[in-house]
Amino acid sequence: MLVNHASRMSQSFTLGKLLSRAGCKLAALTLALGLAMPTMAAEWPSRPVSIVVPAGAGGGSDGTARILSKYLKQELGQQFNVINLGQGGGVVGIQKIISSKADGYTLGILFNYAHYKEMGQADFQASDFTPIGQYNFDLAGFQVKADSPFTNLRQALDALKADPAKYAIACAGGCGGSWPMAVAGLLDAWQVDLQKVRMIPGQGAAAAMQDLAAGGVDFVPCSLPEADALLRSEKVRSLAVFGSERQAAYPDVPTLKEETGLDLELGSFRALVAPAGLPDDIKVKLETTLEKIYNDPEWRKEMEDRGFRPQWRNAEVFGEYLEQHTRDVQALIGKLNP
Amino acid sequence: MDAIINAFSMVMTFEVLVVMMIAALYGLSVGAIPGLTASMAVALMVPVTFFMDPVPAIAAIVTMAAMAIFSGDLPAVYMRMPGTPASAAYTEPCHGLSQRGLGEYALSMSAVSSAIGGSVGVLALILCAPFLAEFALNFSSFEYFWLACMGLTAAIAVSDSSPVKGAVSLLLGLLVASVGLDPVSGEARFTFGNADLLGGLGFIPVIIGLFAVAEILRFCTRNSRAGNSRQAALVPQKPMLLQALRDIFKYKVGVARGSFVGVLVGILPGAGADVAAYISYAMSKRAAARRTTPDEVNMAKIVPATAANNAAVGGSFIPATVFGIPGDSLTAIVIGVLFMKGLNPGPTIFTENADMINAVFLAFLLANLMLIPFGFLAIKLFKRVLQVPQSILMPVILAFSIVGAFAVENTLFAIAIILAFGVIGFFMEENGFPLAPMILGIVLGPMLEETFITSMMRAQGDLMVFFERPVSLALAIITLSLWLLPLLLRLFKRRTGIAPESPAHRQEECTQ
Amino acid sequence: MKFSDITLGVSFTLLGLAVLVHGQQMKTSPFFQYGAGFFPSIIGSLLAVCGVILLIKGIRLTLVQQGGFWLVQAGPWMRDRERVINFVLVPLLVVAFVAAIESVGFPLCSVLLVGLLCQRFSGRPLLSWVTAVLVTVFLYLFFQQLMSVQLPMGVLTDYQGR
Repeated sequence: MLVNHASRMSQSFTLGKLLSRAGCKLAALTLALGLAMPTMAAEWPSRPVSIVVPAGAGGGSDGTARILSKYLKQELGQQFNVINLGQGGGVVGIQKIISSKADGYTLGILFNYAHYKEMGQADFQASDFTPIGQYNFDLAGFQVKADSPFTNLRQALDALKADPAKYAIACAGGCGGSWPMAVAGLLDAWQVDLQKVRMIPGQGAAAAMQDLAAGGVDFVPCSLPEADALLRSEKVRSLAVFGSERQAAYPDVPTLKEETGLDLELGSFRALVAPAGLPDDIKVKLETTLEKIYNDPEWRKEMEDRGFRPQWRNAEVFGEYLEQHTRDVQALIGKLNP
Repeated sequence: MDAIINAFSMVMTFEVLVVMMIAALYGLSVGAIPGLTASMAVALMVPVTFFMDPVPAIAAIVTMAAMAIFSGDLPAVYMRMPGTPASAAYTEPCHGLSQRGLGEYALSMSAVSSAIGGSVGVLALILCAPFLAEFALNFSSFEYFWLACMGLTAAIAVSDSSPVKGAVSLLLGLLVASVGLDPVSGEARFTFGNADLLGGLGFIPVIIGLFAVAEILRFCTRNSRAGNSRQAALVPQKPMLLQALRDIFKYKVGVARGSFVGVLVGILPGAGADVAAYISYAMSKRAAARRTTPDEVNMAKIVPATAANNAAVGGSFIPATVFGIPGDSLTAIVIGVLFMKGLNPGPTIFTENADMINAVFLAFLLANLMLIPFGFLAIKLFKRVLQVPQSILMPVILAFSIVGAFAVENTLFAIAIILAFGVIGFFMEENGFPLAPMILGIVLGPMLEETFITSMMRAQGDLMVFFERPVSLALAIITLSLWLLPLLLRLFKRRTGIAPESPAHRQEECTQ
Repeated sequence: MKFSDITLGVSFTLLGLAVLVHGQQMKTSPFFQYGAGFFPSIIGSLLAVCGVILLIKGIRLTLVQQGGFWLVQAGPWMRDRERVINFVLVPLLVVAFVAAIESVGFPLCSVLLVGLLCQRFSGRPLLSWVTAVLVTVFLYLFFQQLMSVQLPMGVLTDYQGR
């Protein structure tokens, strides 16, 4: 590398010159800004708020978050922007929620997060969040292919108990997610040997349902709206919905309680949270606003039209539920893995 | 007949047409900016569509998708940067044409063939959706495994230079795709304890880096000072519309093949417009070699691929409307909107909501036809960009790349990715490694690995499972013969001597 | 900058082996022969094979050509200091951009990045800085306002939304 353009060099800007110029400009700008610094507004929110969704655009969590953000904007007068961080199956997004400043300007949507720690992917704990309120709980359904030999849940559970390794259960996503954990919870209650059960990871509920119809797996747990089209086209059947009351839109699907007598509610929750340490005034304001939205029939209709089941837990109740949920999942994963 | 007239009256309203035009402009600009994907744009439109009637709402989305896939070709041709991943397969030959002053011609052909491909996709959707969706329901992980293997074969075709370098590029792509959390075991791979790497290397930032940032670095090595030159593509050209409409007949077989491939790939959930473009490009290679001039050879490879990626959009709507199975994030959002509008996907959609769904399909067809006038408008407008001196344009592109990468991933790490892959892309180019196989590796790597491992989990380690199901067996035979036949042929040909390596990289341009 | 097939061959062989070793160290499931390291190991081995093929090709070429042994060849642009500075400036500015954006905010960083590079490349200050400001305004309006992408605003955070 030879310098054969020295003359040209002298005419041109050098990097140093440029940078020093830039430095001057920067200093001037910051100075000007500092002088014009606004007095901090006392009333939250005084600027747009971000809602971190630890899932990609287009999924269920994203859908509920975008509906919620619209109503939050109506109520609080500021923009609520949905930020999708679905990388690493949600690890990146949840990490972002936890590590953000607890000033009320970064909120997050939380779902079943407890498995990340158990699987060694991250170190999330219930105490990392300020619970605000849970607004959605989708019950898991238990689907089989139309020509499956099983006609009711009891048969399927007994068959699994007799030979756990014979059947493949799709996880409808990662195997620590809400749906496989719901099934694992049920199997555990039925005293099936969890270590022998074959859980197959995959790309989410839609892919798992397709796989079920193609005969690749034997059972798929996911919410009934996610299975809707294939149910109606009679490619698959739902053996039960994991709750105590039948769903209005699916009156033919029996409940877990009817089928087995177990009074369990299993599925996936979605809640609004903030990083730990959110100031109480903001927390209370958010909680009351969220409850108000929850009781808005328009919001409810919009949620139900998209197939989401509204369910309310206020900050305190949800906080306790979150801890309980974390312990349950830890126990289950412990039983799944030797 | 009544149904069609009803559908017509629902689409040909002022509201629907205005909405479609706005959506077209939105889609064109989103597609032309690297980093902005069609699905992201659609996700943002969902809250707006809530206030609309179903027909304009869905019409807006399909119009936007069709336009975005086409307009990804604009920066691919003029700047060698694909606007959307769907254009990555043929970016290099496209840009080659542009450098020879044929950019506008190539884009005009692309607009016409995109419109044809897109229309074929919609017609397939209208005419044989239930049948094709039934076919797609035969695909489990075993079939997808063979499909991924078949896709990898395309890597050989898309790498024009030495096969070893193509293979290295493909392997690097597979390696890039395996960074992050392994979706099957949940274990972290190649993350070296770094929290950002846990999320993997985002596909779009990698593409932006390999193409856009690498191009900026190449610009730095071309012009030392005052690169105020404008692009060569600005030779005044006669109206291209008529010529493109005429010339497309020269490639009619290719366009038909591309559209067909596009529909088939599109209906399979998980393989989208980008895979369709790759496979179609690979399939056209042999037929294209028979053309006389080099430009025609390139066109014969590009035109079917542009038809294929647009046809795949129509194709992906088939499982989405019939079984509510989304092929990609775009159709996932569309399904959400269908639900919201009470048009629940399912086979009954064609009987219960016949008028409505026909109107939606008609709007979809119209959107593809609009591609021709709007496409030409976009070509003319985009050409203006090139009147900006390169020394100004390149930094601006850098800013767009940075913000685009950030927009997709919402992390600053995405900016680090574009920089790293910009440097990697630059050195790969300098040393004659083709980029297209790498992209293919990134697309297919996760699919190949996941389908193989989960299949093995299902079969409890029995490899024969890949040959047991009928569709799987058929795909296995096709794939294995695709691999073995050229190998055998080459063995015979090799006797005559080693084929000379084709010049892969372009000439060093020395301005000083 | 070009590397000879020998250099490339050696480096890809090493990379492949490193990937292979890394893949072998990954846990395998106790019930199952294919763990997380299965695929990386295959990729690593194939990469190493490709590296060896490149190396052999390189050695062959060296033996055939006279004085054909070389490892790295500098491109013509590397003899021009101006171009080398340009080439290094781009990554440096991007790194500075990433480092500064959280505290300084996107608008200022973007204006500086585009402005500095334009000025450096074109040597026309007015055009450069006007472009920089316009592009930044456009990016802000399009991405932040229209596409609701949350760009870091740094010191400008408190001015938002009023």
